[in-house]
Amino acid sequence: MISGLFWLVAANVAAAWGALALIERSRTGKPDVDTLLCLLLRIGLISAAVLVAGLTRTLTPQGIGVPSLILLVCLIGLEVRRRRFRMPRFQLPRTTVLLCGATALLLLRFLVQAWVFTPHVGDAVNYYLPKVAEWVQRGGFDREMGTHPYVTYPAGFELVETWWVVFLHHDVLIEMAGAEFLAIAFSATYVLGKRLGLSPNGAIVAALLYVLTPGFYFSALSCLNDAPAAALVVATAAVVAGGAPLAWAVFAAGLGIGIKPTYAYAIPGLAVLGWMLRQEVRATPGRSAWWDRGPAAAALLLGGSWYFRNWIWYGNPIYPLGSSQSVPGISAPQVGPRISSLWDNVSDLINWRIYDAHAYGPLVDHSAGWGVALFACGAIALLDSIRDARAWRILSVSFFVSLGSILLFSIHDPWCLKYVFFFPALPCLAMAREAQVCRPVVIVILAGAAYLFLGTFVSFDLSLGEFRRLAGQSWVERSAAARFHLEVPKEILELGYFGTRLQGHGDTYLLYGPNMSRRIHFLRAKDGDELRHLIRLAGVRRVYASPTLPSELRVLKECVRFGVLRPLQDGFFSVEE
Amino acid sequence: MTHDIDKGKVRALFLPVALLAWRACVDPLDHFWRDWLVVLSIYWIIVVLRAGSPTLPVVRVTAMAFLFAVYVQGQFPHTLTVLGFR
Repeated sequence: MISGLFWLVAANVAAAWGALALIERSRTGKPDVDTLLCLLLRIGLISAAVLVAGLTRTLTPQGIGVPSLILLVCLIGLEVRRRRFRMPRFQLPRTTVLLCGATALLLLRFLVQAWVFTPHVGDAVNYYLPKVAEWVQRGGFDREMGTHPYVTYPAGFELVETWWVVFLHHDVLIEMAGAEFLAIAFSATYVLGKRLGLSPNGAIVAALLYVLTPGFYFSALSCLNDAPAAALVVATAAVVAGGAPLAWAVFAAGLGIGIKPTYAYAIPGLAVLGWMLRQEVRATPGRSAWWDRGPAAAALLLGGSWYFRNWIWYGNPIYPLGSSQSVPGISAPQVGPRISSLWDNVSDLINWRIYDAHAYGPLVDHSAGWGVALFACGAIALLDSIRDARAWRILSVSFFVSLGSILLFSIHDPWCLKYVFFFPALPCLAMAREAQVCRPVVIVILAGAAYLFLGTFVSFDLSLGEFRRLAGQSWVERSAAARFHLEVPKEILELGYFGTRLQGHGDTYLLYGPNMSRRIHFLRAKDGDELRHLIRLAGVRRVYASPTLPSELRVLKECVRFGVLRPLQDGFFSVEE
Repeated sequence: MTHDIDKGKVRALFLPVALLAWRACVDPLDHFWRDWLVVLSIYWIIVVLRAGSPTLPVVRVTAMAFLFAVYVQGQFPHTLTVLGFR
């Protein structure tokens, strides 16, 4: 554990310092924009490191840690050789003690939550994180990623999660991946605020309000990739509006499409922004474009790698979407635009979901998850801002086009608004402007911010009782498995898994254990004989079954009837032969 | 000059009035009073008609406080439940 911690610190310092060294060549001269580019570069470096380590089967603490340490030594050596050794510095904006305190309090609370929270949300534990567990166990990428049909989705965010898992071989810090993107969202909103003429304090208020958006906040805290994708949409808009070279917008886009395809749906709005600002925003002249285009090309390769993999493996870059193979038992995501989806999504949003008449959660079930401040002050503030200046109109057109575009491409279901977590950044900026020009508004915004702070302590799917239970556990054993009746005795180090649990609590990831020490053998059997054969081949003594399809249920019953499996409880079976 | 300003105001009023009319057509009566788009359109109309008026900040804060209450009315019971007070 100590050595893992050492490599974790070394690798993180190297990634941060490396990003600072790389950005040295591409400085825009605007500290806020440079800070955002630096944060984006850090994500790029982390993702590239995990991708390369995964492909070369060196995804171990030393496999990433040693090259990171060498990089760090080289960077320090370079600084010493130039006889101008200095620690890298961020230029923090001048602000009030109150805002500094609020930011620090929010950061501290997030760190406590990240420490106590553990992966528990269906999407994450069913098909995002089993990949991470398999990669970490095997020390590299593998075709085995679990049985859920969506495991083949792009996994850019999982690369960052793997970074926070691989060194300790434990998921206690996995939520820090979300923190990286909260920082990007904060920084990007700040950049947009400054470009829109807000004071540094106003821009910080906007950034704080945006980060506190309940759906966005809980998504970042729950190992879901919706918040990271949204953060990158805001970041791309900030890069464009901030006057950085176009290549850096492409860089952010490369990261975005690698995290979630819904990022691509927002591109029309971002393109509109770039087009409308073409006269006003000029790239810093007199700089070699190579330094900008290199990272952009690398990020496109990084993001495109998942689509390339799917194309090679399945002949379809967006597999399983658009493939002839239907996924029984689960509503297929939409492929292509659909006017009816746009109508239904928009109509639901403005008629009732914006009221958030549902408890806050990361998947924003039947709600928008945009929060009280936005509802009470956002629309009015945005209206005033749009009437006030052209810059606001341009950004608003861009965000509304992206909003419409994503809702046009997203199937109408109870969770569709998790794809548009980027949008609240716009009204949050408008609220900060309103607070600057109309002081009485500050009272309502403060009340809204206080309510948001209160409402983002725990999400509804992780009740306060469950939070207390998790906090009471030792961090080594902290897991949501007990909540879903998925506790496996410690002595069982190999477990068979049968079935493609599609809805409810299949929760494959929780079976690995928080330190990912348990080996899961996925038993893909079409009949009882094949299942018996696969169980023997794997040599497992315990099987977890989560059949949802009639054919799977039949196979399982067959094995029980022939005495191969004996039911225990909660979907567990002991192997009798 | 006055005639031009009036024409401009009429043009500026078109959208909020249309928005208000639309909500009046589609909203059930018990929802109309708490519809955020209704509040927004009324505020918009006031802003157009009373631009620069010293009472505008009061109208703005009142509208925001009203929407705050509407939101909290729906969300507060859930917040209490999640925080273990119910």
